[in-house]
Amino acid sequence: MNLDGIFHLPLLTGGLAALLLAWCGLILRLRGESLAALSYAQAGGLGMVAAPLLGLPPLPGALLGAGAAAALKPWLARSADGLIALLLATWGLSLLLIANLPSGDHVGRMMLDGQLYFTRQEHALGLALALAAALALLPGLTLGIQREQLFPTQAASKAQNLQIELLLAASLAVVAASLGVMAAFALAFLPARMAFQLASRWSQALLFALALGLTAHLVAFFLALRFDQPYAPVLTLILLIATAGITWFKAPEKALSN
Amino acid sequence: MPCSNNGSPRLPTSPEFDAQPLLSLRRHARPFAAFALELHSGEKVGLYGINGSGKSTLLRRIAGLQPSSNIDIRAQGKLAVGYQAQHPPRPLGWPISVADYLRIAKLSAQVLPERLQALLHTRCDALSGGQFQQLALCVTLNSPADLILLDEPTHHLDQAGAAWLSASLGRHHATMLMVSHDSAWLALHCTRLVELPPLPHKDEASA
Repeated sequence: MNLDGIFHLPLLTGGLAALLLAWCGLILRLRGESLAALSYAQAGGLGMVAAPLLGLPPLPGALLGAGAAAALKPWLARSADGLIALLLATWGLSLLLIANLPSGDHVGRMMLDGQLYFTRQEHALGLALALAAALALLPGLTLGIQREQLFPTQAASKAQNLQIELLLAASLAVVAASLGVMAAFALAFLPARMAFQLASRWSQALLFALALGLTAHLVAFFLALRFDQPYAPVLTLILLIATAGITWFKAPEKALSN
Repeated sequence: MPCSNNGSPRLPTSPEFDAQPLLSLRRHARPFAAFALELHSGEKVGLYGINGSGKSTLLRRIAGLQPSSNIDIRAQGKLAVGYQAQHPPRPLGWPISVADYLRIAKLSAQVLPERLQALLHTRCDALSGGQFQQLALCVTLNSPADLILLDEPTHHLDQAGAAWLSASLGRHHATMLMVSHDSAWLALHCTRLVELPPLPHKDEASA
């Protein structure tokens, strides 16, 4: 399949998003905070919709929204209910703004459907920067999280926790602005879930998550182009089907171990 | 009697150890009974008592995992504490192998007993309860700690595991505070036994 030049940037942007969020998803799963991924993505969506009110372009608006959610999270995440409240509040406010702002329809489609084919260089650049930050920070931060979860006397420092929150929030915001809220959540949640099921050690889980995220993106990209469908739902459904297949494949093993 | 529950606890002393205790603690009355203890460097103290007397709470408080306004702790300098909970956090559903677990704890595979060496590449959630308890004990006993706290260390261990633990404790020179319901087991492995007094009787507590 020959790919027209106008699709090179979306292909690259989606690939960067898949790699970044597959990795972030592992961290969220380690912390038992997969719901935070959806909250950050939705808060990024709200920021994107509210950006014209602040005179900002959508991407900085998304970063601002997710950053505000990260700042609130220490209070909200004391119970799962807090994150659910944040999710519902940001969703409700987003839809109200979409209904009432002149630019609402266009930004609303960006938030809900994802507009990968209309992605800009700033999205790819934002994702490349976030991925570079992840490469630099995540190996050390991951070890800190694992140590904190398994050996409670060795709590991660406030600085480490802050770095993790900011990286996760920024990553989800940029991907939500590029691919839409639900595709961002699917990329953060499903490859990590599959990797946790399949891998026998941590390094393998990282490889599996990255490979599964990237493969799902490539398959979704070409299927969506071939059949003229929106990218985000195709990606989400492919990831869901793969997850269901792996769960089914691993079910006899799990039954044997019980 | 190493402790008293009359509101004026006495500190049990161990003349064979340094005069300056590594750690001294004093638990005030209510909701538990008053209690005091001094731990000296190199001692292995066994703590026993009936259910609900606050044994695990006391260890968690010393480990810094549970704030408590009614327990005062004084330590000789800043102590590095190794703590094993009654149910150590297990990476259930995580792709963490035994080798990963050791890497996270900054330890090498050499600390493992032979029967766990063979499971180095097995996921921790595929280990039996006893195998994981032994792995967690390996990590705690090999941590660079001034004081090691063990809560029910024989939990889940089979005969071979219990024998390994006995041998490991015999070789270990760190200061330890161990909690167990089994006072006979504690008597075999500790230099001193201390009973946590039971909860005060309702009438006594309200007096």
